[in-house]
Amino acid sequence: MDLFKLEPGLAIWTWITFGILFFILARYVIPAILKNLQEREDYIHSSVDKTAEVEKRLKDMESERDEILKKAEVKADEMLLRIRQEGEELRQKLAKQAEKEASEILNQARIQAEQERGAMLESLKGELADIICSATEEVVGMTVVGEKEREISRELVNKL
Amino acid sequence: MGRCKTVLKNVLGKIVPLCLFFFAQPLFAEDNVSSALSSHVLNGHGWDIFPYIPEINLPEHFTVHLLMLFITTALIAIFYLAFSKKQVLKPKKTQIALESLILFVRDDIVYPVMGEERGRKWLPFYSTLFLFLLTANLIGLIPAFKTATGNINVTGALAIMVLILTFVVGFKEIGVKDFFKNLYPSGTGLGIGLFVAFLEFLSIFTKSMVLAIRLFANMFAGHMAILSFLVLIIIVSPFMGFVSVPFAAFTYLLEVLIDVLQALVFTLLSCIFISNASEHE
Amino acid sequence: MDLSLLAKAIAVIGAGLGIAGGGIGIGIIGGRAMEAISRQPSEKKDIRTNMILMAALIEGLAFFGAIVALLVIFK
Repeated sequence: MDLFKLEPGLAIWTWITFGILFFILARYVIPAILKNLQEREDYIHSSVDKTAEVEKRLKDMESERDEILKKAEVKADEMLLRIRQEGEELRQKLAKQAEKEASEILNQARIQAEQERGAMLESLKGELADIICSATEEVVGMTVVGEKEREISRELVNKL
Repeated sequence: MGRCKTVLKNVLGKIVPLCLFFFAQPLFAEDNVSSALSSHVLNGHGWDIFPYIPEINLPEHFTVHLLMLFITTALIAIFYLAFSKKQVLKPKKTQIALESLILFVRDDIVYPVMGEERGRKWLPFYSTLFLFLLTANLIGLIPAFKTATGNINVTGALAIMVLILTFVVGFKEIGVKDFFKNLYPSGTGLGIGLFVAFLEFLSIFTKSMVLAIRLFANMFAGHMAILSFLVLIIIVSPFMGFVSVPFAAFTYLLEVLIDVLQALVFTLLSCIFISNASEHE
Repeated sequence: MDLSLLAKAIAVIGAGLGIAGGGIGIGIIGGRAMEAISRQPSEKKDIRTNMILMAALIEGLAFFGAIVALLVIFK
């Protein structure tokens, strides 16, 4: 077992392969990788900045939204109040009108009832006069009852 | 409690070493197992892909570890070239994995040691070193592949490269005079100072040598540990498999960690050596 | 007794001693690092990196011993 066998060829080839690898890496690979890393770093930084900006804008928008909401709330409150007032007014007006109408209808009905009662009374009196006339005819036994008598009896009944 | 302790002491101190000795003896005596072990770990011309499949004989002057080096280089080059061409802003798994390796080298190795300004210039070198070592280490854990870094020539070549870079960069960035002045400790006598400077000068070489030895020994010993557990099955009895396969599996998993760690350590240490040599004290 | 076998046995013992020394060193480093982390959890990353570094340095020495032993064993 020759652990320390000298192989100059292997040593020289080590230098050669290392040199080739160094050339390749130093010339083509590492600058590209470092450039890419730099780019990525910049990209990340810009992304972070952008995120911060977006966040700020979001916050602004949020506060704006809050403001708008508050304004809207106030408006809504006002509106509600107004509507309530208006509703109240309308309700009162309607109630008043309805009351008026109702009393009118009541009056009319009363008047009509009065009239109807008067008419009924009139016809009742007429009937009564007729009955009296016919009763008198029956009692007297003759038809002496002319137009004149009828008028008289009617007046009589009316006086009752 | 005391009884338990004595039993444990006996088991650990006498029985286990005895067993291991008897188990290990045939490993030394039998040429067959030894060569079987060595063929898995050492360099050679034959590439055995799977048991029962006859091994592929590579041409002359072309060895298995060299093949592994080529595969390593090709893997890294293909992956990185393919994915550096079609990079996107929002990466998917593969791109993240490939990028994070280089980012790891940048943020955990090069920038803390060298500083950002110098580190940017040196990043390709260290990321190449890290990726090369990591891939070469990890590829050995796949069956049919071998670890190229388990060969002293490969790690030695890399360590010599680091050594040469230490001198070259040191001379270029701070000058020859200051480079040697850094070695001389301030506030000591001339004799002791020169001695310490000499030791420091030697330690530059020792550090690089240890760099090579460490990586090589880690890779070699890790694979040997896995194989040794498995070879016990041949040596002792087939029933040894119940013990040695879980142990080998455990070692295998440990080896994954060690592979990554050694790649990191090699890169980090070479980074520290080179940047230390090229800085004014 | 075969002399080379004796040499191998001694080499194994030597490797074991070397690794034991390395183990003690790494143990001290690990313990101190844990102490340091528990004192200053914010410096965890730096401490861990340095811990691994120091452990790796010591490990290199331990492997020196192991490699020398392997050289003797396998010649």
